[in-house]
Amino acid sequence: MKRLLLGVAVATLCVSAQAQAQVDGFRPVTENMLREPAPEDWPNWRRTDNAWGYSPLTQITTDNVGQLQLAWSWAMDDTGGQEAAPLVHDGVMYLPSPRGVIQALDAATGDLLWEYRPGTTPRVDGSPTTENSGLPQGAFAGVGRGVQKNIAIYGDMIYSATGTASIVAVDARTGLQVWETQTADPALGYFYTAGPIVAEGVLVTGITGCDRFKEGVCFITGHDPRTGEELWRTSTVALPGEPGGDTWSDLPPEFRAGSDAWIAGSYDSQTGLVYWATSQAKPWARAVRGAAGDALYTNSSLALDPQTGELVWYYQYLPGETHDMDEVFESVLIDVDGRPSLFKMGKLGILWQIDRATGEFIQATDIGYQNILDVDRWSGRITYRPGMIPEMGVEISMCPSTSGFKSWRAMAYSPQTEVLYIPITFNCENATFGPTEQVLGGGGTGPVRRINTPHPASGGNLGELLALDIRSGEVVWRHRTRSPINTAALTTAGGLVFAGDWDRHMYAYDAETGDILWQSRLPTSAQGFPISYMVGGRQYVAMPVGSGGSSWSTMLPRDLIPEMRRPNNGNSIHVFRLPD
Amino acid sequence: MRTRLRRVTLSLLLSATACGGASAPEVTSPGPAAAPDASFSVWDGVYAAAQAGRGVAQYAEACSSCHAEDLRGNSNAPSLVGVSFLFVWEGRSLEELFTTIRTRMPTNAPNSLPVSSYLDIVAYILERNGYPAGSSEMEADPAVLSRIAIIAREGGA
Ligand code: HEC
Repeated sequence: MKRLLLGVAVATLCVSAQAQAQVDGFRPVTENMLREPAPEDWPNWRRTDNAWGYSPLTQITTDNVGQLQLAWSWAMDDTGGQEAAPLVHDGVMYLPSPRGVIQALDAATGDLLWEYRPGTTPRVDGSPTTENSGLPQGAFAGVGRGVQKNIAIYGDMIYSATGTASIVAVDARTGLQVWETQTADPALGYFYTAGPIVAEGVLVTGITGCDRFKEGVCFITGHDPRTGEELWRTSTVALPGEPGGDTWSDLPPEFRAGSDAWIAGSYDSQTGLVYWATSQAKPWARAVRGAAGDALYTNSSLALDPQTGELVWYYQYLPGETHDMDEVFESVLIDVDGRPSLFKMGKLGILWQIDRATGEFIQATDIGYQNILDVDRWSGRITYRPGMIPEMGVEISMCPSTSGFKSWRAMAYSPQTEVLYIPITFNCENATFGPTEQVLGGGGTGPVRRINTPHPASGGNLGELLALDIRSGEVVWRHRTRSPINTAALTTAGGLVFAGDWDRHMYAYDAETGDILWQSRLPTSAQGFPISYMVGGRQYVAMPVGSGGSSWSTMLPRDLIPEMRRPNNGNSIHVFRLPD
Repeated sequence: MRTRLRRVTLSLLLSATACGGASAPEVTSPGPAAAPDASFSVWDGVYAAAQAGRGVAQYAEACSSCHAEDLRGNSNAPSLVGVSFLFVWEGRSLEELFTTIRTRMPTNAPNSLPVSSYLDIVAYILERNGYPAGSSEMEADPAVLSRIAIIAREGGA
């Protein structure tokens, strides 16, 4: 009884505390503000719909970047993997943290305005919210590292997708939860690491956690941002009897695993299409999953009508992929000589250019680091090299390893240089793929006997920021670091590129030459999505920092650069500006 | 002869009853990849049931968020049971498994648990893989653990 009373008292306190700290004079975010952001703002996860990761701000330039100073920093929850993509709207930073926590900070000072903490922060009506920190009962896949990459802002709400397979709307003024909609059963392994994007008034979100065999496959949904009502749902796997359903041999639906949609997509208001990509099939190797076909729609770009979820076209990069070479990453939309294009790079380090109006292939540039397949530059057709299709129990030496050269560390584009800046990790692996159990609950990626080896062309380095010309695919410059480039890239109109490495460096590069013009040392690995924004006439550059990343930030440094160490905690964000 | 000697040593270390029960270990071929001096296997009752029992909660706390409640892993973390586990671990020693787990896991905080907790968790993993409990607790003695091979089934399979 006493306990109950105390609970009520605490809940009340929380509500009043929430009510005090809030965003004053909040201006609702319109569709137009998302489509054409104010130069000061960063309202989409890659700022603009085309996922350029580019800020038009020019206060910080190649001339003065050497004077950058820390303006403020903020410690984030150390309860999981930190891969944040913060947003900024009207001088407020909305910062996603591990395990569903979202904080609103004064973007000039770092002062906390509100925080949403699942299970602690109540709903707008005062009722309790669901905790998003533990493993759901009966889970057979788990929420992993609690990663929450991106969130979305629209109207007067912040939207996130949770580690327990729900989508949440939080009042952008107060942090109180407005609605939560469950989209799948987390006990079956479903969870989110990527948040929604907003297109044509619809919240579009892609789910992950589809590695284990279960009834049901991965999907992308459209939700009504006001009510949380599901408007449509499109499967990322072609099922028997559907178009493309015969590309998984004759596997029944429950054994068609993978095609997770774990990275947020892009949108083009001209074509009216959302571009979302999918991951590889599971288990990873054909021999292990027992299907020789293309396995649609794995490792594909899907062009979806945001109103209906209709699949307007798809392009499959790696039909029947068989080494865990994921192509799910960001879709960068650039018009090249009048041709509306979509650029993508997956783990293999092949830069794909396709026509985003039609899905037609344009060209492919292999950066030349992989040894698994040959790609025809002008048709996009892939051919596995002799002996490189894994057989069960037979070791192959492959570059990259299953960690990939490219990963969620999004590349950035600068319209000034017409160059893509791509965070790369060098790695190879002696890999022997092995069996899984073909039963419900079984499956997964399949086991791999894995020996990490350095990449022969890397000069002992694990990291590279690679600048590629979008027309020719030629290397403009490359800058190598001993440890992995561990963040997305950020470009600014000041002629700069920002990124950071595992060994706690943050770098400002000259976008034209690759020269390092400024660097700083951070508490642990730079990790996440750096952004730039302006408040009160001053430009800021924010760099998320943290641990708990992917294999290239855990096992690769451990095995290949053992002389380097980093703290295994220290999730935080560090914000820089020019001196007064 | 060497084999017999080691068996005796292990029995002593595990306490005489551990290997002296109804199913005395048959020393068959430990498999091609087995450590050459492996004299025992995980079929020989190398942990105690109580130890595996203690491992349940500790596994849930320290490992399940990545390797899943049913130990079958997720897209990042490998399976710790069944054919997938054996594919990686068959023929290797329990010492290697224990040391791998202690020095590398959890990935975000390696070597962060007391040794006894790592032992309890390894015992639980063995139990979930169907290996029988014995009457003595497994101890963190490299000399002992390195002589215990992880094998699928005595006599193959
Ligand atoms: C934060 C996620 C995470 C947690 C927590 C975690 N692991 Fe792991 N584990 C991994 C990943 C990722 C790998 C594969 C990469 C590597 O070896 O670092 C792995 C590998 C392993 C391996 C090696 C498997 C193989 O096939 O080589 C074992 C054994 C293991 N973990 C056991 C454990 C145990 C026991 C715990 C609890 C004490 C634990 N792990 C906690 C993520 C995790």
